[in-house]
Amino acid sequence: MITARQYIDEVKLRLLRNNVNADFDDMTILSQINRARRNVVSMTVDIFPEFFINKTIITVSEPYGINYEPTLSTNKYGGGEIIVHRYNISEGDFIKPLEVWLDFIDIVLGVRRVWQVRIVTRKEFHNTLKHSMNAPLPSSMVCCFEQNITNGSTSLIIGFDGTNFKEFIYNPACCDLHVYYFCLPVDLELYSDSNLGSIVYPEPFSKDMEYDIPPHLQELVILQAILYLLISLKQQGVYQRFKDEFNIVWSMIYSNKEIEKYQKETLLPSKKPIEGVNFPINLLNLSNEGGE
Amino acid sequence: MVPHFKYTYRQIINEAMLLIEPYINIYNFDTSTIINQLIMAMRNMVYSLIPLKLWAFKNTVAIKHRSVVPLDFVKDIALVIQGDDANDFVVEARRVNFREYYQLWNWENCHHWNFARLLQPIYTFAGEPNVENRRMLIYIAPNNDFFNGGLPNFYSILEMPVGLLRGILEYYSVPSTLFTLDSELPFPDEFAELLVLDLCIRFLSYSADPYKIINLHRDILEKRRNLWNTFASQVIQERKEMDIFVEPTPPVSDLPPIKGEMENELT
Repeated sequence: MITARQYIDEVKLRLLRNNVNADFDDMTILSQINRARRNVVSMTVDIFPEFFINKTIITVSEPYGINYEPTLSTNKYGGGEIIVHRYNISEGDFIKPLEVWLDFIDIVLGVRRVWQVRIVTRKEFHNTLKHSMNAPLPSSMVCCFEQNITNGSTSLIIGFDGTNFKEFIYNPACCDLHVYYFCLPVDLELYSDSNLGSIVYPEPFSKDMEYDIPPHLQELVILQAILYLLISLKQQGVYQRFKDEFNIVWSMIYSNKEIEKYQKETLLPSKKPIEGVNFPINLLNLSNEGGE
Repeated sequence: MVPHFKYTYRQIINEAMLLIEPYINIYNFDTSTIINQLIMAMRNMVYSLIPLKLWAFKNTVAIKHRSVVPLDFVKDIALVIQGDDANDFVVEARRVNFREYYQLWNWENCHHWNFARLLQPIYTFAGEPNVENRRMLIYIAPNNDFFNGGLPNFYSILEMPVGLLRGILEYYSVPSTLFTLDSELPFPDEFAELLVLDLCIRFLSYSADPYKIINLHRDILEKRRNLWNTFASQVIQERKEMDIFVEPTPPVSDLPPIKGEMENELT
């Protein structure tokens, strides 16, 4: 319900009211707004996870096809083999994985199934493939993620039980990995007024809408963008004033999130611990939240 | 006596203008700006005031499985699943984390003691690319996702619904931006004072005396601190009362007799 134009107006208005007459053009402000949005998402992705989830679908290739990783594939303890594939995740907004599902129509019964893939850390991946008690089962694959420092690309490494993969799972018609992950927001664009009413695509004032940042965090974005813009100016007093305001808004959001955890037992007293009153009184001490 | 009616937008703006009147002139004041600032102030304050008044700031929307969540969504309260007709069931779904969604929903590998049923539906939120933008969707289970018939026994055990489950999502939301000046303020009246102060601090800036701004800041902090302290003492009080209610404790020893009362002889 807020657009790129409204963000820019809000930033300009507040700068003007603080007598900052520096000549910031729209595109400079917009790029700082986009930077601020990314920063706000990084700050809040752990406390508001449901707002920043995205999904991508990767098509699984043949068992010994181009994504086959011979150096990681191994023999299974007690017989059989583990087939390891490596898929590049091309999504640039990928922060960290949440869930991986394998969606396929099995080639024996023709039934469509979705199996969850276990996510393990990179360090335990090899051991997991080798363990006899913890190896990839026919119905539970194991995967891990890694990011290359040389080119920055993120890849998904997944280990299948070889026999099952070849004889049951792999179906050229339908075999996909659904990767849910935490994401950074897309950048907002600004379409000039001259496009208004024309058939130029994308349409102005409808495609530059804010879809990624929830409404209660948009104030943080505005304040953060103003701070970014003020860094280059010698306006220490104004900078400090906005910094204080940013701290106040941020501390309100953070302390309310903490209080939410205690509300369940407050509202449902039968679920509370027995001794004493566990309400986090110290969270209500608001004297250290910046301000004057 | 004049009874109190609910605040309107116009009254809030008037009150704010009375406070900042010495500092406004034709160069730094216009009505549309202050209305905009009022909207921004309300949007900003909603999340911080939810714990103080859990039954305010509520909005509802009719949704189905994989519906797009509205853009004014702040936090969910409850999801009530409707039946297909008046004789059908109405149940409340429970909110689950997305990480446990698979185990509760999947037709083949789900928990058999805890999976989503028609009488115990679940819901969660996840984002997906939607047309051109990533949007936040609501997932309601049980559902027929990724299901092309399957094995007959699974179908009967898992109570697959005929169509998509639909229901009413109740959620905390920010106020709408569509209103007239004489509309009622969609904010609880006890927070109106805070709203006026917040509006003033947004509107006053360089144009005002810096000491005035400092005083306003102090007023806001003090007001918020008072609200929070009232809230905390209320929580503690309720907790004490409910403690007694939930776990009645027998008296350890007899009370001593008060003056004029016979000594009791309970053993």
